[in-house]
Amino acid sequence: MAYFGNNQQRGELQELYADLNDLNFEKKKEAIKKVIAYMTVGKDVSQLFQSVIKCLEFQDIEMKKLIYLYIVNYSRQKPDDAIMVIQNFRKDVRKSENPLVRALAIRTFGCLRVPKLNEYLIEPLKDCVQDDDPYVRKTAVLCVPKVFEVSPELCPALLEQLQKLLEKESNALVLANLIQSMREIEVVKGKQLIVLNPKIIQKLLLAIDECMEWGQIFILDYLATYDPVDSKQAEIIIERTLPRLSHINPTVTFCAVKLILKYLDYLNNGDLVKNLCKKISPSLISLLSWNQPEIQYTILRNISLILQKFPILFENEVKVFFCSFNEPYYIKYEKLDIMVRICDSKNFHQVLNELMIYINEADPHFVRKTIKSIGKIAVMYDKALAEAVSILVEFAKNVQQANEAVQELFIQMQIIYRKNRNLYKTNDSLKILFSIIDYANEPEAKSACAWIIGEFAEFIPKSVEKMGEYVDNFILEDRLVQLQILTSGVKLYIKYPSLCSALIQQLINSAKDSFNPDVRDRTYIYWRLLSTDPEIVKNLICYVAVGSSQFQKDIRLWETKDLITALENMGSISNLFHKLPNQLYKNIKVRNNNQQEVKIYKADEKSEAPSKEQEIKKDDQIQQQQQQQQLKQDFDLLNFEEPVSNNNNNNNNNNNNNNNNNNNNNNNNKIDVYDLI
Amino acid sequence: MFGISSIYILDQKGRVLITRQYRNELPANIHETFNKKLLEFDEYTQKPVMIDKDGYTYIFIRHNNLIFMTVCSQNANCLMIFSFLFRLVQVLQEYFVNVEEESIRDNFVVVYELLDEMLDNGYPQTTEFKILKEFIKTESFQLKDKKQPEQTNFNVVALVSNKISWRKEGIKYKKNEVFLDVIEKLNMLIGQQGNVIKSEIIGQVQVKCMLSGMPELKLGLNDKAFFEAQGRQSKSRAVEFDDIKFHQCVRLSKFENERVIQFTPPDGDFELISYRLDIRVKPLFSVDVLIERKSATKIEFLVKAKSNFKPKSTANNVEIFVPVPDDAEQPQFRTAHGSVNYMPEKEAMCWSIKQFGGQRDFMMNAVFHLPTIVSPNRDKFQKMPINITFEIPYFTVSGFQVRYLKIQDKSGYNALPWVRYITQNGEYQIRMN
Repeated sequence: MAYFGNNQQRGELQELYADLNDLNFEKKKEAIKKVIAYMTVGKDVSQLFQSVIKCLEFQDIEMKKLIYLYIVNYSRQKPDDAIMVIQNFRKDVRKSENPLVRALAIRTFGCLRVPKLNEYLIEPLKDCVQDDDPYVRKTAVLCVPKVFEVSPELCPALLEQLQKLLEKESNALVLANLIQSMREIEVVKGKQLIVLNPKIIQKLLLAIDECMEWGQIFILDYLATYDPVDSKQAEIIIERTLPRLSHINPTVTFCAVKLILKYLDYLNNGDLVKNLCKKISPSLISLLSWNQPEIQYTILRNISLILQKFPILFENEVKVFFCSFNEPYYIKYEKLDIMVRICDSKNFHQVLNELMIYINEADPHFVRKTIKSIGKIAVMYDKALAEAVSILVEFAKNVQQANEAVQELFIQMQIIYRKNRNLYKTNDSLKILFSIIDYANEPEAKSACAWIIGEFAEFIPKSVEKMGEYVDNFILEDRLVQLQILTSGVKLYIKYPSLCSALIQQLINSAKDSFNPDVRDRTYIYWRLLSTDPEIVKNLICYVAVGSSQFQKDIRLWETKDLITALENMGSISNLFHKLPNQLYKNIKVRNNNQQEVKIYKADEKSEAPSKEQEIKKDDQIQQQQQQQQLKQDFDLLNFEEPVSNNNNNNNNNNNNNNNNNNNNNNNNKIDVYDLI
Repeated sequence: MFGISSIYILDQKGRVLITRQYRNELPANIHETFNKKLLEFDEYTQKPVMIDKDGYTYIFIRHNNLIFMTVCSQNANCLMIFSFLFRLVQVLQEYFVNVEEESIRDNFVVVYELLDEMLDNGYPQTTEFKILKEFIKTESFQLKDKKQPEQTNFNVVALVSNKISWRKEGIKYKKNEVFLDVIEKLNMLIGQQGNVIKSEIIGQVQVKCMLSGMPELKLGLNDKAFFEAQGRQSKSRAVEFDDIKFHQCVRLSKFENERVIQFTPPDGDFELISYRLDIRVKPLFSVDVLIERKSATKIEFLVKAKSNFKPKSTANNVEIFVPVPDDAEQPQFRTAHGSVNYMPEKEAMCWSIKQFGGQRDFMMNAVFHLPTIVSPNRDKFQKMPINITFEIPYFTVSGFQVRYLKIQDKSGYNALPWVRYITQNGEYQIRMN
């Protein structure tokens, strides 16, 4: 049979019409297939509605399926005609001996989504929920949320029925789908529906063993939202879940991991917790070797979340995240990100060695990310600084063109210099950097260069000349660069007053009339200061920090209360985008977590009990400060690029007035690209 | 966690071949939004999940020239959807062998039936081919079963909701046999100095089951944890699995508690076990490449390949891919073993050796001419790794062994278990630099 006729003539519908009404059964069936084919490609065959549904009287299952498909598609356009089908449906549901037919009818019925049809549906649906055959029951159970979505007012009795079914149902397949359906209704309704008792939990645990893989997912995923009453119960449920870690379906394994991770908090046996972590970790790592990158990607995105609470899982496992050459880039980026996160004072050497290889790859965007990662590691660990600088310098030596990787190089070098000023000497880094300074073309990179020139003017032979070039092009530059040129220009003037007097004049002249209030204001302040007392400016601007400056690092991706919500949604779409469900979907109500703290599971714990991390919050009362201080070492900060909360962590925030006070992040000493005055 | 809102099978150009809505809440032409969205990205930035401004999420995989795409309007379980899509492709493969545009078009009725049965309200249901084929049949299947369709339908329904949903009663074979294929893939990353950066063994036990009735099978491996659980010392080399995963027929709780692998197998082919070992393995092959630039227009490669496994094993179909400059031309190869081909599309030369014995080393010499106009990516090849593919039969890197396979059935027949081992390359790479 030809699937898509190339030239549909006007008469084609007529022809189909004739065939549908033909007495020959085979002809009818062929005609129906054609109708479906047209429907698929988006041709309108709704006019045939009457003739199609007439064919329903035949008991051929294949044909029935096709006709139902057709009805589902067009019922919303033709609700009045659809009513005529109701009789057929009811007949199928009530009279058919064949459970397959009963199930098919009720399933299709649920898909109609025409409010006024639903009242005819309720009664047969109730029957089906109590059907003798489990296959029909599970289909009926799945039908309830469909009806509920369209006409919730019709459903109270049905929901009660579901609850009763939950009590007495013993078939695993039905149970799994029942849980899933009730959960869906819970979310839509925003009200708890499932009432668990020990008996039901017992039943669910049993069902996990017995039902098909997807059912296991439904049950595990649901149980992962349950709060066990005590340590004992948590232990039992975990015990029953552990075997699922060996399931071949990655989602089953992952849901089991999710459940166990959640229940760890409830256990009061420290050794058990450690053992469980040892079991979970290899399962997660196996999922990373899954041969489908799409699965790997989903797991990686979730791991960066899991890491925040469970660093213990990937202790000593950094090499799992090493990229291989042929992997898709979206995997490589995630791995890079995670590598930086699990980099610590013990393994940074290993990580840097690996990053050194990536820096040679061909794709500039990937190289850029690598450089950024190296910079992050350098800033986090004093010991890593020298090694990082030598890698970056090696890279700088081979630069031949202005690509985005080079831009990142300037930005990261600036940050590193800020961290430890003395590094300019190491490996001639400053000299080499200056030799490629003309390749800077992104605002952020340019401003970094301007900063470097101002800061190290005395070590750069042609610093004044170079600054002259910058000043010449001042008007053309981005605001960010302008601000830095201003500061650096003033620095240069302080350092070489006689050499730079013309330069500073030119600079102030071009800047004082800027349309940008930031630039203008800064110009005037410098101008005024310089004309009153250059000594003050010197103290302000040429201040050299003693030793290496303090940089905090923060590998947190989420705020504490968000972390809990996010962990509950492991595996979901929202987590994949590193968002909270309610940020992505308006209709979802998030369970309110008043939990202010979250247990962090680390490996190098001296005491058995996991330490507690206190949420750093602006409006937090001082009472928790003591605890905070104790933990400061564990947890500090470095900005990662995809912050979850809506505060803009960008270095170049556009607020002219310091609205930052409202940012909940203002505790962090951020690395600003430009100097504060 | 919600389910899939609708599923699409699209051709290469983004035209709809099949579409099925499970929740009628989507704009009619949403696949066109997807197609547009797809164009926003290139191969580097393309991720398998996209979201549009209205909050619809597109989750998709590619297979041959097709795109299998789902749209979700709610916060669905993304991992589950990916797993499902891969399973869908697998099932379609069992039905049509080649899943491509033509087979989908020709069998669209079956595909619709499958989609109807495999998903309900957007949640995956029965995805086991062995059950599906009992009640969704292609035309060739259909003819012989026509006599008693009602009867089979009843059985099927029972099967779906049964405890053992993967096997039906009443299977009969004249000769009862089971074939086990142990396939180990070695993933390996070797640094410039020949140091092993990463090594990992991914193993699989494939089963071809031709047994009558409802047999109960028990599989014994040289599993270290099993010996420990039994409290005895293993005589021979035992394997310590980092992770082991089973087909759903295996009683997982039994394994968890006693480390005993017991199951009632599906009929025919299936993957029983997949396992992973994270152990340091000595490289099976090491390759040294010496590059000499004779002049600005001539480059010479001296490649030395060495096998480090036992002399009694032999590797078959060894192929060594060595990257070369992307503008290299006029290759001249010299070697006493195997043959060499230049593959410009892969920017590599491929040295193939049909049989590579253990503890041997072979040499190969290659000379290329380079055009005077230098290609901008000429030096890129040095950053690309060497790839090796191979197969070593009757050998497992890990030392994995099947100790026994006990087969028991009520009828008490005798069955023959067979086993075969092979080691293959996974991602086997050597960094050049």
